[in-house]
Amino acid sequence: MSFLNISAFGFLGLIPVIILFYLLKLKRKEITVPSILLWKSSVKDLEASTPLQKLRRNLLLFLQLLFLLFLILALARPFLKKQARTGENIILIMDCSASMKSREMGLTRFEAARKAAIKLIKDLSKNDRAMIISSSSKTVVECTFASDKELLAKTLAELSPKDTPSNIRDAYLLAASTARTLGKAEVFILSDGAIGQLPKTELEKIHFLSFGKEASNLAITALDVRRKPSSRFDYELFVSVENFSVSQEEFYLGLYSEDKILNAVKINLRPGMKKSHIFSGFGTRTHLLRVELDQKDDLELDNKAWAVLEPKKELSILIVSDGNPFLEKLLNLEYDTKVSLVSPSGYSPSLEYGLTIFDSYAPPETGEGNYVFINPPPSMSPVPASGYVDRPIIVDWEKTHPLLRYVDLSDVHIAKALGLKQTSEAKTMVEGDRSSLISIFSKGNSKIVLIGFSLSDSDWVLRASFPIFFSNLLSWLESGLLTTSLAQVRSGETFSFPVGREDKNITIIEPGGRELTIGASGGMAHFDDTFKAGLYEARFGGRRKFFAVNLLNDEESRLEHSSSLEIGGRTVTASTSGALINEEFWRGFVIFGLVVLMVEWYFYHRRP
Amino acid sequence: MGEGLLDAEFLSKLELLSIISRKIFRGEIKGERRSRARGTSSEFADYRSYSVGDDFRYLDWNLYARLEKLFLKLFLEEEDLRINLLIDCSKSMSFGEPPKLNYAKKVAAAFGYIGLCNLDRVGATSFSSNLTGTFPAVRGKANVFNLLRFLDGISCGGETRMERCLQYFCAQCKKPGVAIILSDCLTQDDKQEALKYLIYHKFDTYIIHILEETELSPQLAGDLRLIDSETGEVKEITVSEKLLRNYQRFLKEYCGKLQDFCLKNGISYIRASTSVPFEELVLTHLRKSRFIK
Repeated sequence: MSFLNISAFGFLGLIPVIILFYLLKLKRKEITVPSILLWKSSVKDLEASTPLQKLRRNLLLFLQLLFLLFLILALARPFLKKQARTGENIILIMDCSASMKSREMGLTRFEAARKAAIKLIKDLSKNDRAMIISSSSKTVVECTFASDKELLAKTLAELSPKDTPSNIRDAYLLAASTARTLGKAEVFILSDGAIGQLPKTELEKIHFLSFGKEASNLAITALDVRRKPSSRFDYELFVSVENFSVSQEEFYLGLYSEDKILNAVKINLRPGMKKSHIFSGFGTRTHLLRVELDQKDDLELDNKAWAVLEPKKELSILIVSDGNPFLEKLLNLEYDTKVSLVSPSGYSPSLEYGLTIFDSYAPPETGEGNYVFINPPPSMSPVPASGYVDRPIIVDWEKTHPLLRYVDLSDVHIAKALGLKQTSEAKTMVEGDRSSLISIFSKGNSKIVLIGFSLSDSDWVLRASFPIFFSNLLSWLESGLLTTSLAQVRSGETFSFPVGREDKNITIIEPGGRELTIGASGGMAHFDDTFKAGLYEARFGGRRKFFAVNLLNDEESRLEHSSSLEIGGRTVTASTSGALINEEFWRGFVIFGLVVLMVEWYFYHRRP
Repeated sequence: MGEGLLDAEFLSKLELLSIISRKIFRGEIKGERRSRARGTSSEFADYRSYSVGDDFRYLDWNLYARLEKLFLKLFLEEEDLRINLLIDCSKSMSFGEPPKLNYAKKVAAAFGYIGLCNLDRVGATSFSSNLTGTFPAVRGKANVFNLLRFLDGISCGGETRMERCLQYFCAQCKKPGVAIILSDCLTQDDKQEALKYLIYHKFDTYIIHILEETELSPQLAGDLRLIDSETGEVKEITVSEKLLRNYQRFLKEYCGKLQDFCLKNGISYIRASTSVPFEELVLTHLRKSRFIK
């Protein structure tokens, strides 16, 4: 209980005045009697039989003081903080974002919010109606205006937080729009407050119920997988971990393929620090990957992240040549390549091939794709050439370029090479004493490599650098061809994937095992029910496709909580126990005081 | 002070009382004042054998004729009754309308008058903390005014010390007789011990316990400070119905105890209120209680 008018307690100074008056009043009338003998005996007997007789004498004083006390309490305007309930229409916005899953003191933020919401529902009078909106990455009206408390409570009981970031703004705007339609409504936002600023609306009665305290959390905030640039046969998995707690943490970050641990690294993080790590060497045979922190904290959702490696696609290579056994053999030895051979006369452009190698030939035009020109005719060379150069000497080469990594050309001898001119578009990879010998350039999305000499005009095919070069070439080209992984989205986002044109119904299996069916059209399916983090499986047309949904959101993982909301420049302060009003109850004290006064009057007049 | 006792109205009332009392004496009780002593009155008491030297006049010749033996008649000694009026004149006796002392004086005057008219010896003593005044025993109606004058002159003052006073009185009195105590008996000391002195000294004791109306039914209310008129002791009370009931009970007990003691010890006790006219007391109540013989 608190008081609005503390100064009223100044009237307590009247108490000694009343006592003084009473003491003065107690001056007794003196009467001389023949003898007090019998009076002494009478009084003594009376006092023995009624021990409280002396108190009775003070009863009137006590009643007067009690009346004064009640009067002072009434003047002091006592009040109690009580759940505010003034409106008939109530809109509850429940924050169902990932941060509400944070468990503090045995209860998640969402459970605490739900408890408060149920209490609000219970306090509804029979004329009140309530609407429940859940807010995660999407805004959903869980229950339209209803006065059925059981229905509302059931709706709240069935609500659960999602693994997605929050989007209270949309829910708030929906509530404002609804309130505008109704003309009068109260909005309660139950959240941990990591909301940001909300726009100004016509809503006047907005209450913010804040939940959550300082939390301790480690989180995986970034995850990426790519083919290793240096090797077509290996992937790199990039992970970022951030410490959102206030203490230094030491933990292990593990890489798993299903339940098998592939690798683990010990990490020591100071508070507020972020650290990244790259896992590699886990090969191409692994398909479903998971990274996990071995630390328990307030939000375990972001301690794991998943990655799906798409199976490596076969690279189709077309050799347009009248015959180049060295090249054919070399390329056939490569993993995941399918080599086709066609003569220059039989060549027609096709998007089917990931790489087309023109040997001593150049088509008039090249479309989209990656090309290698080996000794093209000077007039057809993609890079201008001025005739041939006899016995060029390899002077230098780009040793750091992925194409020429580990390639040693010092023992290569060339009899004759095109005199390739240096242009701004083409980059010289191998420089001869008089011209470029190997150049590269890009044309749109196409990568083009120009080898200015015939393989038969050099002893290169006999050198170790020859297969290394072509292996580098394929890796370099694949880094643009193959998309790394990435069958992955953040929770709440839509995952789109190609399906067969004949596939109309796609079965999606959620991480918990629940099956959903979505439609597909135009060879594409879109799945937006990514509320749960984990590995999903799509089944269609006899095929399976996995994709991963991760939180990867440092704002949610930070587990911020706020005690106020900024709404259109106005600050709405939070209350953990509900929107409170001061309920005054001075009238009760006035009534008590009147009752005491009547009792005092009765006893005063009842005296003999 | 002097009013009432010496005025004509009072004296005429006394005269009436004496006439009435004489009628009572003649009509009913003849020779009731007895004494063990054998004397020369005309009232036959007993026989005894004749011894040499006895008076021949008292020989019963009829008995001799019958028994041929000489017997002497014995007669009761005619006694000279002494009435002692003991009047409490302590401060407490000044209360009441009329004051208890005035009432006691009138009753004492009535007894004294009747006694003097009956040729009894009548004396009076006033007491409070001590014997404050003494009227020596006199006889004859001629001493009535002297008695009245003495009684009239008694004034209130001092505490009641009945035990001490009666002790002194008994020590002074040579002969026992009738002791009539007129008091409110509101004394701290032991009244029973006081009365025992009279019993021991063979007084024929009568107590007239005089109380006034406000003592019998107090009309007090509120928060009061009571001051004892004699001792000055203070008692603060808050009057309530229960307290008044208690007072009545204690008054009844107080008087009852005294009455029981008197009854057990052959003392005649009567409680008198000043609201009852003294002549009514003297005639009606005293007659019933055999005060007047």
